[in-house]
Amino acid sequence: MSTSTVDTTDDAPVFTGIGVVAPNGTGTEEYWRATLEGRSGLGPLTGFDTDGYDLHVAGHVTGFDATPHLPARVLAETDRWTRMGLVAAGWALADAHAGAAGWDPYEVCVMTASSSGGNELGQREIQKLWHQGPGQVSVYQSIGWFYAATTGQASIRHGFKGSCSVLVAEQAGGLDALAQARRALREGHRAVLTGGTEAPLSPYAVTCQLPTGTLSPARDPARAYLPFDERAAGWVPGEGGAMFVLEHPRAAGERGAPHRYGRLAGHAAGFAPDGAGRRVLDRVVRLALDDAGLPPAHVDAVFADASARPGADADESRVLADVFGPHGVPVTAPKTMTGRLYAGGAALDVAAALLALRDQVLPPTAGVRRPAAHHRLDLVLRTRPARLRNVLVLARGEGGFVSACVLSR
Amino acid sequence: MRRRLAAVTGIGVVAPGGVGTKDFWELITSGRTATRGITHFDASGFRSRIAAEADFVPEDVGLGPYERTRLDRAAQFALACAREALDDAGLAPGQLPPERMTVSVGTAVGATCTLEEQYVRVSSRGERWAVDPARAVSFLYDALVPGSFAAEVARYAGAEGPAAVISTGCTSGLDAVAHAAALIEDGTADAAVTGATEAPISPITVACFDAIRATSAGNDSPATASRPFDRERDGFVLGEGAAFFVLEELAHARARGVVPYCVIAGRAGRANAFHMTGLRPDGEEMAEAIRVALRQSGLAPEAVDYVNAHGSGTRQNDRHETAAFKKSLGEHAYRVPVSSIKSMIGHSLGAIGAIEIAACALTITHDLVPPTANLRTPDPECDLDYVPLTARRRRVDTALCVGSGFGGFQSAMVLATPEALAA
Amino acid sequence: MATPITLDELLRVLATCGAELQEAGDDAGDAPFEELGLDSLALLEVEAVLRNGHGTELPDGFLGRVHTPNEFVRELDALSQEVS
Repeated sequence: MSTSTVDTTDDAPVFTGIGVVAPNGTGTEEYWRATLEGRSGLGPLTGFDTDGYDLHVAGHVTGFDATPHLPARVLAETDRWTRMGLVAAGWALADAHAGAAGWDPYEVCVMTASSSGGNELGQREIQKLWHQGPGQVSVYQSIGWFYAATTGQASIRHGFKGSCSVLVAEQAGGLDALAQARRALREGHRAVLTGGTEAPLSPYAVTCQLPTGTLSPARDPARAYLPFDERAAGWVPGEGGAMFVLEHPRAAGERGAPHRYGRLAGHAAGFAPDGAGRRVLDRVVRLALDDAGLPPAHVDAVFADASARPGADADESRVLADVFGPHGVPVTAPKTMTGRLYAGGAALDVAAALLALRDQVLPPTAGVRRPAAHHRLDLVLRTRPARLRNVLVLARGEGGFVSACVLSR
Repeated sequence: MRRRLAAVTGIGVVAPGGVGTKDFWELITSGRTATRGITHFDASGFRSRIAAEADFVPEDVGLGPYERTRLDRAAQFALACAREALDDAGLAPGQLPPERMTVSVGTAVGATCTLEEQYVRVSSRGERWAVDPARAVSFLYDALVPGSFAAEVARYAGAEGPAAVISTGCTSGLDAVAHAAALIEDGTADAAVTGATEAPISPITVACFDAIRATSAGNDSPATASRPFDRERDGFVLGEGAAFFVLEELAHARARGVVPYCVIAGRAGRANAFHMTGLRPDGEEMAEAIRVALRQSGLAPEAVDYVNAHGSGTRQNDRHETAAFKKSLGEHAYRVPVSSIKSMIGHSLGAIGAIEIAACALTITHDLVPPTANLRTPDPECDLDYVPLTARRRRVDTALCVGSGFGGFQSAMVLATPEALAA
Repeated sequence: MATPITLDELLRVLATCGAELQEAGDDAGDAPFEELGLDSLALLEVEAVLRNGHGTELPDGFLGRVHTPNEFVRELDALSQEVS
């Protein structure tokens, strides 16, 4: 329980706009309402003949249609992943009243997280090549599949000429993109469009994920993704994500930004070699708190990485118990209602955390009925009003990426 | 001058015509080209059948059977370079405090070779849209998400600080190294293993550049197909390769008794926000990136002794870039030697920026400017001194390295000796 | 092989390559490609679609010479008559 204001220096950036595309809600408020009501967007894996696939549940953004939002030319050039990013970005910028901001083009940059890129577009093109011949590959393969496509298209669409970036650290990338954005603001930019999206549910993309053994084989969406539960058996992949406008707090105030969702008070990242997951997560959490100038007692909630693999869950709960004390802080994972969104995942967690700070309420960890006692967590199983000043968001990317950020009111 | 500076203390390179820094430097100062007819696959059905291929033998660089089977070619390049760079810096993996070492790896198209090879298997050569997961190899996820490149390098180097892949298309090489430098400058890390890698010579990549006619169709004379700034240039030649560096905070390097190749004096990225592939001829955004990088370095344009150009050899790039140099360097643009090593080693997309940083570091060290090969018919629109054909002896203390890529990204980096900065 | 194409056929191809035809309406034939939302990449795609789908190979530099759908149709028609 926190009583003090966060020790943010003047330059802790403020989030002034949010845009969300998620399996349980398209648009920020629709997503948040569904999340607080515990409505899950998980459903059967669909879209192709899934016979022979050992994945049966996924977080689809059913009925996502970018056509009303993007011109035909952009639609032709982009994969679903980029379209989700552009739609979310448009909403974030509108939310921030960016159109009236009077920004110089060089003062604004675009920094997104990417993970698997333009899967569907890429698979379509590579199929044409191998089935019909090289001459069938379209002009859009060179600009639609690669990991920088969303950043590039967003920069062009909105005229942002500042320093642009694309970070790949699997699920952790979204937090690292925020840190990159903070650096850009410190180096003189006025605003950053940041966040991430992912669309990993096309056949080849799913095929690439299956051999990791990390995906839940469950058939029932209500029981497929159960982090910290006795029956935890892996995660469910999903599509979508979130985009933000991040600004200098003074600049945001001067231009009359209509919303201030919260501040990026701290961030830390590290790499964990095999077997060092717990040790590195512990260090990264403490570093992030140091960066925010906060002692553990001032953290009011944790949005967990929640991978639902027993070993990784144990690492995470152990670190939380060590840092905050057993049952020492409310822990939640609204990603149980969307699946794990990779490049969009940490970004969506940040969106949820910011909305939690705004509304002073914690969303639930849906579907978990039998939290395993050995985790010693105060797991939020039902939507819970709470006094929230500072929230910690954790993200671990496959391969060893570990990141944490602190968001403050 | 900033309090903290990132110094280059080790270099490792895998390049067409030169695996290892020494052979790479020998090639690019000789003026010989490493562009040839594609041998990696049967390219007879493609429009552009030329590439700059690296004769890379994994066993020669200490990669064992596990790495050779599981790792994409680009990841193998990265490990080979990371090893050479650490050796060069006189460091053993894990020697420096792990949590203070960061890893930042650039790549534009990631594990393309593995993704394509495996796609052919699981789809039965494109027969099925719903490909067959039963045929998927165990390491396929590492190919889907190129973050695995950073993970491999971090594991090898014993680094436990922030690790990430920076994937900004053809400026990835410059941007990844700039990212690591930023983390050193702001105190997040004291050292970095950073660079970029690309192994894109695979049917899908060749086909995608064929579709937009970006690559040279000079198939009858592959050795002269990459002709940056030449009036007869007709596109870039696809290349592969990697370059990695050990960066250390300057005081940290000095405390170890190491003399750095150079320091990263300034770095900036901007975007043209115009088109995913097209470039306006005025080069304004690239000029702005150059200006910002120079400002950061505290050096005037006249201090630049060498410019390593993007010089991809497309009609639009070389014109765009020439305009950018004139805008940002003023009259000095006409005096400073400018060269494109893509003329010799092709365009390795996300890797080339790092390879070009290596060329700049070596240029500063050896006071020898690599030439632009194949430049025989000057283009009136490209009227600067591009050091045609022959390397040139010249005192170089400060080099400017630039890059431009799909998405509209424009990046610039200023490398200099510490003495040049202090002057 | 430069086979002629009707304006309607061409407009259909343009539409699949991202052209915005509704606004131009009946005047689409005389609208510059840029106005129809077709940039250089999209025109390359048009070229590829004609080659792969219609068996029409546009000669080098053709796209640089035509700026509207009607010009395209006329120029292609003229070329195919030259050949025959």
